Amino acid sequence: MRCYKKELLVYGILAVILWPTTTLSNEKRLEGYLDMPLQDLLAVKVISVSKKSQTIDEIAAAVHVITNRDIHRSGATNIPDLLRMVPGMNVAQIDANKWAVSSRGFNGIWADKLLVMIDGRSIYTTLSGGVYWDIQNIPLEIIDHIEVIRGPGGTVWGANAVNGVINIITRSANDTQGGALNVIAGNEESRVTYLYGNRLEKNIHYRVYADGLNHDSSELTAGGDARDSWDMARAGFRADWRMPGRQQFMLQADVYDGANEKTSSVDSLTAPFNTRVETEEEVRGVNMQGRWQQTLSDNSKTTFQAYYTHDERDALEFDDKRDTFDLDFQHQLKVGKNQEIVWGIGYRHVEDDTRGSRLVSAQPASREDKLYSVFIQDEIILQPDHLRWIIGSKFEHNGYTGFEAQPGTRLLWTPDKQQVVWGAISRAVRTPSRANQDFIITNTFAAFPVPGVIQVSGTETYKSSTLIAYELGYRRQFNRAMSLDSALFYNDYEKLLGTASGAAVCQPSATPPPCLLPGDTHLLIPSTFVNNVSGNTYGVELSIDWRPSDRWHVQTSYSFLKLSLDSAVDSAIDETPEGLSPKHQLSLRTSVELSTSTEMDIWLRYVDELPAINVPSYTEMDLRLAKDLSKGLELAVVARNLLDSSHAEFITTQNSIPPTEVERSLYLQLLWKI
Amino acid sequence: MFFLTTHRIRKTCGSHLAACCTGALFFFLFLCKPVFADQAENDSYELKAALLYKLALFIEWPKTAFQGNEHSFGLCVLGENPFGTSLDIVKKRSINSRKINVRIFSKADEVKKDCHLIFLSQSNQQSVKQALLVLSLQPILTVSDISGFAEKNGMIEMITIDDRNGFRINRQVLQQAGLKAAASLLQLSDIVGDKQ
Repeated sequence: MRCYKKELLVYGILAVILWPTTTLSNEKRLEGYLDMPLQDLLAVKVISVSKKSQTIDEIAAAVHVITNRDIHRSGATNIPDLLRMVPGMNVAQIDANKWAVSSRGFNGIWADKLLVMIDGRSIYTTLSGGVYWDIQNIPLEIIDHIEVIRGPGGTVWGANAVNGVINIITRSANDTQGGALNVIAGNEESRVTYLYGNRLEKNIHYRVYADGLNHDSSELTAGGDARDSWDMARAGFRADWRMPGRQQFMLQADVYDGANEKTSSVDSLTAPFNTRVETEEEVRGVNMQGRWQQTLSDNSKTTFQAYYTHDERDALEFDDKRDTFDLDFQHQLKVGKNQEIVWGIGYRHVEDDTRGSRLVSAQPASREDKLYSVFIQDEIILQPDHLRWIIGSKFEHNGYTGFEAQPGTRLLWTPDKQQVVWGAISRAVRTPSRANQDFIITNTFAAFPVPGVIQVSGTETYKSSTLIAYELGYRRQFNRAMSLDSALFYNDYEKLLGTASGAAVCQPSATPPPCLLPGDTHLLIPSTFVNNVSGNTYGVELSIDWRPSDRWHVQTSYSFLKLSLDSAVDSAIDETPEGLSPKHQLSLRTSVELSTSTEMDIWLRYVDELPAINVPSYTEMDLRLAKDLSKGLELAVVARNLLDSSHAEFITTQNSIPPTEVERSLYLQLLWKI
Repeated sequence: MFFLTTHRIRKTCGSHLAACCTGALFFFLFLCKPVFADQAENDSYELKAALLYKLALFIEWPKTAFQGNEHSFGLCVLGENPFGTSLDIVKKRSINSRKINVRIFSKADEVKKDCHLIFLSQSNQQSVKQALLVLSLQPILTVSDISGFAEKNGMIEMITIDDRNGFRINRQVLQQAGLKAAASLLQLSDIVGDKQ
């Protein structure tokens, strides 16, 4: 009977929003505009239709742009939640401060096939190849747009851009002038952000921000408090200079400090061997970035970028301090009438300091690695306005596997102004993370006559995983109101992560079991990370953008994904990624302007089951109602995950995190432009 | 269709609900014709038409611009006209007691002396520089919503920030043509190309 209520609720809402709202006659509205003072006219909300599609049309890849309007209307308060609207992206919340985010499969807490950047600065951790999303909580108001490319980006972006590239672009300081205060108060989350921007001189704009956030703990699937609350404080600034000679300079820095509650594990050789401890994980860090762009002529543009990041994460079982220094140079050059070449060189230096425990440690505890890279890409217009061919490659030398090459080629065909067909074949590489080569993970359990110890270790010979991807895409603009974007892909993987077990041996005598010798303390069951899994994935992604009227915008995306992996040793565990990816996903967003000062947004999501971890499929809905109380003051009420009091999205097998559910939540938001 | 496969594990209300939602979605998308197809784009140009009218009230033209036709103001469009019927409504008003004359040109060299404000529509994207070179010979206010217009030496660029319209004004080019922008307009806009 619970089912009925939900269906009726959804149908009811659908009926209300799908009923076209009445609009004023055009003439009356324009007369109204002509009577308004200029200042008021500039405060009227605009619906920008074609900005997004103009840039996407030229790209021979499965790209989706999340605009700042999408961000504002979504009701999302963090970046992973925003990514749910993109087809092909797998986003699953593990607990209140951890997410599993991936593109086209292979999702997990350490999902490592996605390159994520903020303004070109890489934010994945070289420790595991994954992203710590809890420290990426920049205020959403400073994001201009997010470019999500599904599929390999190795040709331009290098290793780790295997299944996708996400670039979060923040707004330039010119676009965030004046003061703004954003307050969120809800049953799960509270947040206060203050932004201020101003001009130093006519050509130098700056902005600063300070942000504090507290997120409540969620519920365990088994019932009870999940002890996963978190707090984060952040501050940052950005300055943009427009200099004579068509030069632009940007400087930005962020600093953060926070703590998460978590459940850690302590491993020991004496009973009870493996205990769960409630502790706190502390995080802090700083990043600085500078970029200098120079337009040398109409045909030539150079960009020079440098950044430094320092991140610390202290947990009971593992402490990590990581420093990254990166230098990048890029040159865009038009050659003749029909060619555009982009080439670049880069250098990255990563240094770390870790302190492990019996449960997990890195051997060696400290490591320094250098990455050298060079890339070149040529875009050739074979037939003006109709056919374009892109070919290029990135070449890297890294401290784990030496030399890697990632070539790729793309073709873009524009049969007419309304349609675009593109195809691509690319090679991408996932270089080993620190964990793959240097980690030792120990798990002790009770056995007779001595405890058993499962130990998984990385090896120096762990190689890069490789991908050859075949993609095809089609985009069509039906009319001013409706457009469609679709992509098909087939990915062929080799040398994926798997494990190989060795013979069990009693320690320290090194004799085979049973361990009856008096000196023996445990039975060691060793295992190493090896590249013995291969396989393929294929899927379809579709998104439709439709404006039935000037006050109503519908955006929907659908994805289908199928994985089939083969482990050389036929290990069920190594083939787990198959059951960790949802086969179908659907997102439907509808935005309505109920009046010139009131807006309503509804976001419906469906994600298929994850059989490997027994997470059932779920359907959820977010609802947002916002009203302009006066000029520069907006009040919003947002209800998230309305359809169930709580639901599970992911259970991680790699941590001691107990199965946790995402709860229904509600918050009030006040955005005040001072 | 996609959701009729059976699941091995407990099925929550979710999948049936999703089937209904998908069904409803596809019904509305593909069986109902998209109505008001052009309206979304037209309405943002309605707002821009009003902004063009307002802009003219905040700019001072040199006396030479009105020699020969003291009583009419030329509001012109270069390229494809995106305003639909909006300019017909604006035409009914007056600017500084001058009647508004709306003209549409497809080439920059066809633009006559009696234009005082010219809007370059998106169809000019590939030829902005050449068009501006030709237009710089006359005291005409150049306005456009083409991205980067102000940087390419257009006088006023219509930009969108935070879902709202704004102006980016290239003061240098404006002054070089003998035009003056009211201080109240400059205060509301982003200024580029300042000399001093």
